[in-house]
Amino acid sequence: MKVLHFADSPHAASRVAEQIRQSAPHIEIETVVSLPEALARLEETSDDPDHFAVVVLQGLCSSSELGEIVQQLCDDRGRQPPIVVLSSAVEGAPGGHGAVTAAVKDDAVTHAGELVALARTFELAQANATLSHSVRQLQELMSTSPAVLYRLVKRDGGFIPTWVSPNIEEIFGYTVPEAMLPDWWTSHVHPDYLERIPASEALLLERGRLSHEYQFYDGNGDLRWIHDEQRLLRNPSGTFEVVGSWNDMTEEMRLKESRVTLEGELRLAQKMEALGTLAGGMAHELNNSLATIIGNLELARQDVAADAPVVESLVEIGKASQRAKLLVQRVLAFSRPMQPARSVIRLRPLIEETMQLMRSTLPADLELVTSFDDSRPEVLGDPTQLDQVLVNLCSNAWQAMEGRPGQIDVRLTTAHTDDITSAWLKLPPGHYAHMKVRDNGRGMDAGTRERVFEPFFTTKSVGQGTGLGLSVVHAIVRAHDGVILVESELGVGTTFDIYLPTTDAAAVVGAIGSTGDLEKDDRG
Amino acid sequence: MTAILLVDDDEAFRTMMTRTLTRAGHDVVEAGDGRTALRMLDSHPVDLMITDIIMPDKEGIETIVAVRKSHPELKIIAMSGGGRVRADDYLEMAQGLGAFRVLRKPFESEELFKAIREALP
Repeated sequence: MKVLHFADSPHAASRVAEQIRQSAPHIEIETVVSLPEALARLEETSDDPDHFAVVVLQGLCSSSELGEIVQQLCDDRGRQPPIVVLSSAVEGAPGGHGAVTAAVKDDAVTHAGELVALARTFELAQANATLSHSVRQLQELMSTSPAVLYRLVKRDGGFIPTWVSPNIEEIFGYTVPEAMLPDWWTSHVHPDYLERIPASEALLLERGRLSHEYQFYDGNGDLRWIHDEQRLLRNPSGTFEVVGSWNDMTEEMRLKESRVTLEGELRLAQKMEALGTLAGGMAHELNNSLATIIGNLELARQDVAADAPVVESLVEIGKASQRAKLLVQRVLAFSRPMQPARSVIRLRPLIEETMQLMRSTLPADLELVTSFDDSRPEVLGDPTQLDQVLVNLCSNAWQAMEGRPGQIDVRLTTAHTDDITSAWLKLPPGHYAHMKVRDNGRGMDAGTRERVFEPFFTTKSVGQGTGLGLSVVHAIVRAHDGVILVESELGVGTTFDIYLPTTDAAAVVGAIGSTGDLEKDDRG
Repeated sequence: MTAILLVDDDEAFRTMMTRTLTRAGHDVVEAGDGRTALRMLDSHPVDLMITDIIMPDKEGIETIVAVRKSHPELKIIAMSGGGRVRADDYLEMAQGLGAFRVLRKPFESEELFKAIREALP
């Protein structure tokens, strides 16, 4: 704070200035000893941001002279700093305090006597300035803070907001008045969290603080993850208040989720690699043995008459050898990277042909329903492998029926993934053929669902399944730059969703949004 | 009568192959590894060599390379059970190095006879 100090004697001026400096060192004093000088300084600095905050007049003895000076200081100046008259005049004495007050009228503030009192006045002024500065800083901090701060009061059995920091508008897209509505929070928090509220409140009352995370709909209706940090304040009157902060955790949660998925994929890849090496070595030995068995079988059949009783046994050995040969081929799928032949494949005819084949092999009480939209997607891939995907999924679906009648739905559409869905699917945005295979069989629990694509993982009894079918499906889909997702519920059924990149965006024009009009082809 | 050198480290497989080929009217000599095969080629001139690719002592690939140098006119059929990491690439490599045909074990005798007919028309 800057003070213009106008004194009539340099000696008296320096004494007072020194005393002020000692009692209020933060005050910057500039002393002048003539009226023209005082007027000039006020004139020069009137437009400065830190112009004089106070003018102090000292030692001007006669009240008439003082009145004139005050008058001149105030004349023609729009932004006049307050004037403090420092007078030694004593109240009630002739020419004393009352005379001074009368002389300066309304144009100045007068202070009688003690310098200490003057310093206190300055301190008060300074404290005011510091306070405004702090408030300004706090407001700036709050506007740049990533956390929204709030205050609640416990009333009518619940917590009602009494204050919310203005940055809520920028961070969560709600205005302060919106956020102050009593049911604003409960009507925007994710429904899953609502039932946890009583437990959270109890915990807060018990421990005095609470740190929790939940999902919340922002002003655009998008779900965001919020980290909520609360502290309980007990007022002397016995009421409760809560101060807290909301931090947006959406990005962190997304990263966390994708890290978990990546770790899972890495574990699966390592397992596949190890099993691949092992399977490859075993396959080599098995193939050599099978070559000997199959060759000898042919020799043996040449050695006996076609109607000899042993022929029946030889035929069975032959069948078993062929099964073993196929099994080894499937195991070998892991010992080398699956490189699909790449040709343009129209998925609809492929699905139709495969389902016709499935129809002839699966029991009649199993209903097979295929449906297509009019997009007719084409993908770049290996028809044999894609055929195998469908056969494996349908066989699994059939086995999930456990001999009961049921239904398998195979549906082909074209999907366009935007930035959000493609981040979720971990695919580049674009057009994808979407093949859905759904059954109403027994379904899977979470533990089975998580391991369903692992090689050699099976829930079937020994001899009924190799545990390779779905891991082969997974490997084929990945080799076609696609993804496969599984959803399942015990007692309800299982759905596999496969997304494969289409060859040409032009081929799917008109497909988007038309998935509602499915041509149904019921082969059941 | 065609003279065939059969190279494979699996004795049971060799026995079966020799019986199959002999019955079909071929004259067969056997070797259990690549080194022996190369030695035998010097003493027993043959029309065709049928060799496994993955063997102890001298791998089939090395054997093929050596035979292509010492007996450039000799036709070679390579076989493999595959399976070991990148073993399939060995079959392709064998073909690239001059094996006339490659057979993936296990194979039917008809596949074998077809390959022989094509190698020695």
